[in-house]
Amino acid sequence: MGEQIVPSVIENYIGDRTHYMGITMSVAECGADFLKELLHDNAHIGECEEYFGKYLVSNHAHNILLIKHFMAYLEINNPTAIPSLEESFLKDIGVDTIYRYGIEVPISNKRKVLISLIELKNEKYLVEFIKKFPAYQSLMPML
Amino acid sequence: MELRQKDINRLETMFARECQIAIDTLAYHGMSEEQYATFETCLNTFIKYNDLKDFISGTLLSKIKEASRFFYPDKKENWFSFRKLVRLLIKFSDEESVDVFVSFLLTGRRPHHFFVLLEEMVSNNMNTASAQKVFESLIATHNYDLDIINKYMSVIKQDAYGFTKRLVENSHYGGLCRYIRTLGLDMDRKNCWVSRSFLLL
Repeated sequence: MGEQIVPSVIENYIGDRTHYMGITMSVAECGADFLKELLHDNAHIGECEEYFGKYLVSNHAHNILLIKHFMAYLEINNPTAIPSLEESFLKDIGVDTIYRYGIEVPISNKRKVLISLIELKNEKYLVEFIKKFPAYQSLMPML
Repeated sequence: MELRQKDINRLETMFARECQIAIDTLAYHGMSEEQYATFETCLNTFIKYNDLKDFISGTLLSKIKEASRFFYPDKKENWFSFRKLVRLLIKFSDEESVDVFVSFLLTGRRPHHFFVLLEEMVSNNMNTASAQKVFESLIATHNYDLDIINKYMSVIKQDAYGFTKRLVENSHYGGLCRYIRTLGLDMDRKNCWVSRSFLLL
């Protein structure tokens, strides 16, 4: 899919950063494959990985598929950026999205997700989460 | 002997009536290639009279609008007639009528009819820029599926790179996002079929 589209966007796009983020978001919804080119190699837009992270958290935090693909990209290309992104992301989203993030994103920090669920005092999701990840049950008394 | 104005008017009225009948015949009963060629030659001869030109252009536009409501690609005979009507419209109408027809087809969500028009415009070396702009501006809102977008790309003879470039250059970012998502959805559907076939095995 992206073999022709992504290079065309990178070579021909001369608009502003916000629309570029929208296009990148559409690509990210399909997968993490072409994110490196879009977030690193575009000289016109410049380094925009950090901006894309903020853009996702403030506008599309409920879109777990998007977050999952962006996290997969970060895991390979910039793993040090994951903790801070996760922190700001978990602050901004509702309890159901936190739960989905915990179970659907493989590299999500389960401990942080558990803490967030406990802070929000939502028993239903907490129970479900422990059922999915019983190894974290032992952390409960400490949290 | 020179014809008097009164005679010219009478002949024009007669010709206009015959034209209307011929256009109706073409739309609803079809015409052989030979009949169509004769009709086209006839129009070519008389189109120089301005009154007739306006009349033929108006009649063609209203008939073709009417026909596009119930002519579909799966009804082959009708579809050939539709293409012939489109050819006549392009040859014997002004640019404005063609633009009106483009808007009529696209706002009425008839992309396949629009592609016939676009194909004929391309084969007649007409400027398709404004028709393309209208289609591209509607990609985002009309939720065209991948088959429609691919068909459009094949008519304007562009690959994904060129099509993306067009959308980017004309600031149709919504359309581009829609196109990318449509491609993604199509990939998901294909993957889904692959996994289903494995399950069946």
